[in-house]
Amino acid sequence: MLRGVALRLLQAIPVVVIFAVLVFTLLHLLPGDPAVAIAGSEATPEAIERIRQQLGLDRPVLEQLGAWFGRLAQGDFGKSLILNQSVLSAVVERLPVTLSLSFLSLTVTIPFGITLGVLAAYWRNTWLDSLVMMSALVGVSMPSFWLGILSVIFFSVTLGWLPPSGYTPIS
Amino acid sequence: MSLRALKLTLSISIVIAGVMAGATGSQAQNKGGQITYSTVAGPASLDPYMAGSLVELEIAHGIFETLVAMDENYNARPMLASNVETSNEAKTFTFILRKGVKFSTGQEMTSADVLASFQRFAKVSTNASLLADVEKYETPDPYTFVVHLKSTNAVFVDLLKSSTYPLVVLPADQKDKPAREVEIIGTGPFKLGEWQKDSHLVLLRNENYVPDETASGPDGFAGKKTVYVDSIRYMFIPEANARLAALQTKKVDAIADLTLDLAKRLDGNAELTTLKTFPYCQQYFVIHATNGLTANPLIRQAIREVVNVDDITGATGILSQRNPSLLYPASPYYAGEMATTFYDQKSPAKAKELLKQAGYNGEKLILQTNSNYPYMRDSILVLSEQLKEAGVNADVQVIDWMSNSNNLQRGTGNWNVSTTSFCSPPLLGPQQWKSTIYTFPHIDKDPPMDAAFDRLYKSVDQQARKIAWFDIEKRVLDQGYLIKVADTGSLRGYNTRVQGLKPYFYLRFWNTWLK
Repeated sequence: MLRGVALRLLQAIPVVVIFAVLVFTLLHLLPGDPAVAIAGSEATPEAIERIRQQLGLDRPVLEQLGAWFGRLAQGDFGKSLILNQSVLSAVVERLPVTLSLSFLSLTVTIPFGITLGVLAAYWRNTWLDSLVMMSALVGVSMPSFWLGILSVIFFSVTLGWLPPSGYTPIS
Repeated sequence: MSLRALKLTLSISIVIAGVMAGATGSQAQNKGGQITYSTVAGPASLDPYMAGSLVELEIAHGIFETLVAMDENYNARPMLASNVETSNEAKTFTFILRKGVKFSTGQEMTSADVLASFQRFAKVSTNASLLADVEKYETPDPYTFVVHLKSTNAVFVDLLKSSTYPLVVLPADQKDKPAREVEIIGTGPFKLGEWQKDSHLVLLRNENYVPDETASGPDGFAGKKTVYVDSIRYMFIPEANARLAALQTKKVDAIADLTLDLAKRLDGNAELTTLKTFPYCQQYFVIHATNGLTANPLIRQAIREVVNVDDITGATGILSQRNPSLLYPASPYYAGEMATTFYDQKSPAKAKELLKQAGYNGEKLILQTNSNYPYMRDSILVLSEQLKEAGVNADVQVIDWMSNSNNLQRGTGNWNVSTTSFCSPPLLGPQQWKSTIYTFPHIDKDPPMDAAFDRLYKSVDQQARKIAWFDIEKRVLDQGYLIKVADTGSLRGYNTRVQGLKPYFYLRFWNTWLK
């Protein structure tokens, strides 16, 4: 058993390495220059160059890759430029919110979905079956951003039941 | 698995997936209360020397102050300095500091703090090149700070007023703090309260603030500032509809980045209105002066001749107004009359003539734009039609903004014409235009313009500087490096219970109060 787990863990190492290289390469293949994006569209060439130096983007790609692996091996996932904090602490900070939202979403959707699914199957080929299936199809097909906008307008502006944005922890 | 069981499982799966997809003036100026303002995003850092985004700067300019600041017309005016003396052919600048100015900690600001701030700025700021020509500093007494430059720079004080990466005064003990790790302590009317990244930031009234009593009232970022409210709460709501909904449901008092389309939802609402701000930015067609066809000035001039401004602004539908110049009328360097000669020419016949002189033979002219900013794409599409009317073989390429922006700055991507907006240079004046003018059209060499810029930086006499700028602007427009489209404005929404808000590039909350 232990041997099997150890083998699986060892097999995961090359997978992680290959994915890390792929992610790093993709970042460099993407259009645009991170330094230009950070400095803004009006920045002077001097300002862009300074940001490039500060981020180490002026160094050879292989050197950057090596330094990135070196830091990864030490558990340093880098620093978020948007949040100005370490990526690891940003993920850890936000994990409880993600988990609580996922949990709440599942506690609503699973009982609701199972019940409607059972009803649709039991009374198949009836108006109820059609209504449930049509609702499900609309839910699957509608882009979430559009449903989100409509929900904000309906539940917040029209009905006034919910705030338009924000997060309150489950307590 | 039976057919019935399979159907049951499938039904349940589809229903769960479907539900889950859905889940994801003369009035009394009252004191106290909190104004809530929703912006698109929060600041990454409040280190003013690294602050480049609008929200970072709006917050930073409430907390920190500069020696020289922008006034209501974006011209330079002393702020933490009471006076600035220029001598030695504009190589020596003496700043007499206002006495009694305090940081939010209660400690008095002296020339030692100013010196440490300049030294830290030169070490960490993205705009450190501003101080590259400094020979030495002097602090002869606690209220005098002297800057000696190696060479003449007649616009040095104008450069110091820059609101982007502002050279604010920090306490001297912050001198060795690395970039983005500075403590948020300033001399401004607000101080930092609570800050939860991704969610909100609160600015509190700085009880230790010492206003400039020599001024009669606020003047841009300078003047006498008075804080009436207890606090300002910045709420970060990225989605435009959610921001507007927050305003409509009175969860916030003001919102940033409102579009004309969304603003229509405020029509007929007596409590909610919009704040239109002009000047804000300026839109240009940028012509690549060293790539293929457009390396020929006659071709660039032909492009300028076809432009019909009203057709373009009518198609984009953004908040805009006509202005032929690279500056705004309130600038002492404004040369609108001269610029009119090159503006909105709408003359395909003249363009045909210029194309003929250039020996144009139907080669492809590449117009590059992006899909992220519809007004840029629409402007280019209208221009391409105007060019076709003059017989130009215009080829429109729509790419992503990141690539478009990168190509504009680096000159890569084989483009001839593109479009973008500039905000800081037109607001801040001639001294800020140099880098933009050379970088974006990728001008290799232009001796007349080089000489004019030299005169601008070295002429101590302001009239001579005005003439130098006139020559620069004329050269830019005549050579078709940049073709002016229009001034573009910004739109914010607010609840009329907030009083005293004035249109300005940055939203300011001093001298505002709640009804």
